[in-house]
Formats: sequence, structure tokens, C-alpha cells
Amino acid sequence: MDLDTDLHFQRRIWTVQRIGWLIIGLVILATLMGAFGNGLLSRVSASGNGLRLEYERFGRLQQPTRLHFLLPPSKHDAEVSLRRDYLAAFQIEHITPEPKEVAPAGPWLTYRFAGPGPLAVTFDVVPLEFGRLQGNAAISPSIALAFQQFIYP
Amino acid sequence: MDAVLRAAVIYGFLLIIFRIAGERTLASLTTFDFVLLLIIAEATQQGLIGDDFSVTKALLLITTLVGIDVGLSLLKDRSRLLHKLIEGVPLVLVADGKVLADRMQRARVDEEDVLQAARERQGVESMDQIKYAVLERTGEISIIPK
Repeated sequence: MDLDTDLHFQRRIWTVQRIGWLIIGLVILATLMGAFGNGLLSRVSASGNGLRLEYERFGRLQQPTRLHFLLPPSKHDAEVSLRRDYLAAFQIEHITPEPKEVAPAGPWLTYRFAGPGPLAVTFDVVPLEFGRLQGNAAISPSIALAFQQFIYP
Repeated sequence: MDAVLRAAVIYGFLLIIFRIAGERTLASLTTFDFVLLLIIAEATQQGLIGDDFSVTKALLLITTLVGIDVGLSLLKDRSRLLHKLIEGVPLVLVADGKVLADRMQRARVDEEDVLQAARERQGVESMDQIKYAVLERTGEISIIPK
């Protein structure tokens, strides 16, 4: 029979296929765990000196994600500042409750809310850039926290 | 720019994942396979188009996909290795009437598949009437009777 077979090559392909199946299994497992967003591995929190943030470590491009701040008790109106270079990677959809004032302060953008803390504030944001994003949130120089997110394309 | 990148990524990914899945995965299309294929197509489409529903984007995607396909076929003609990598190689399952069981097992084909192909294509009724059975690159089994 005139047939162009290559058993050696076929055996290598079979090996690669087995490895591929393993990778498929691992990807499914990682997805269930939240390695690509929405899951145990993804839901994390950061806190520093009374300021607490719950956020998704993994997000996806143009898929809404949420930053949930717990602002500490305060005498004046509750406020939180975010780095502007971090915010530039996002489109902000909603802030709940709505801030009464948004003011730039150097590299920061300060959101001021009506009434004193403690206050829970939710930012619903949509990532417009992908890759590693470094976020910083602060109330004062002493009450600050840093967090990292990874946005998949 | 992202139209070309999206199309290239999706094309490459589909190529690899279907090669990993193996020739037999979607070879003979059952009703369920067909539905699965539709769902895969639907999932792919979202990733390709994103939220840009313009005609321009669609045209760019089609152009890129066809372009990659043509380009790859030209490369396949030049490189034997690339041709084998993408298309696979045919595999002899039955040689001179002898069943090669370990190959069948690794290729996820059983004797019943071979006999079915033999009945459908050649009207052959038993294994000893088969001279050669070959798992083709398309995933189909071709039969040469004795």
C-alpha cells in the first residue's frame, strides 16, 4: 500500500496530546478555583490601619469588577483617595454611595462622601487595560494600602 | 489592530486545541457533536467580535482568518514538518488482516469502529476480510478489503 505513515511522529503526537489533556484538566481546575476571576483564588482583601478593601485579584478586560472599601470611623466626612494612574486603567461605572465631591490632589483623586465614617463604599469599574495593575488607596499618608490586580486580555 | 490579533489568537488556539483533542474527537459528527460545535462557534464569536459590531470589524476578521489560512497552506507546502504537525499523519490500524491493538487503543479507536467503517464503506462483514484499515488524517477510517 502506498501510504505516507510516520509512526515515530505519531507516537510523539500522542505524547503531546496526553500532556495537552493534562493541561486542559489543569486549566479547568484553575478556572473553578478562580485563577481567571470570580472564585476563591480571586477574591482577596487588603487592609491597613482601619482601611479595608475587598477586591478581585484577577479580572478580565472590559468585564466589570468591584472594589469594596470599608472606610474607618472619622470625625469629618468619610473620604478615600485612589492613585490616578491606577484609575486611568478603568472606566468607573458606579460609586455607591455617590460621592458628594471628587477632587484631584497631586497624583491622587479624592472621593469625599456625605457624613462621617465608618462607611462601606463600592466602586464598580470596568478594566480598559490588561496586564498587571498596581493600585493604591489612602485616606491619609498613615492610612494607606497597596494592592495588585491582574487583568486578562 | 485588535481584529488581526484576536483572529490570530483564536485561529492558533483552535488549531492547537483540536490537535490536542485528537482526530477522532469531531470526526464523525453525531447530533451532540454538532450541537457542541455550534456552542464552540458561539463562544468563539464573542471573543472575536467583542463589543464591536461594526461591519468593518467583521470584514477585517474574515480577511485575517482567510489570510492566515492561505498563508498556512503555503507554508505547509514548503515544510513537511509543519504539514505533519497541522494535518497529522495517517495511521495503519489493520495490516495484512492483523489488528494492531496498541495503536488502536492509543488512537482511541476500537475494533467495532473499524468494522463499522468496513460495513459502511465496503460491505465487509468481518475482520478477516479486511486487508488494511487506515485512520486517515481527517479522523475517518478507510478500509481496503482482501
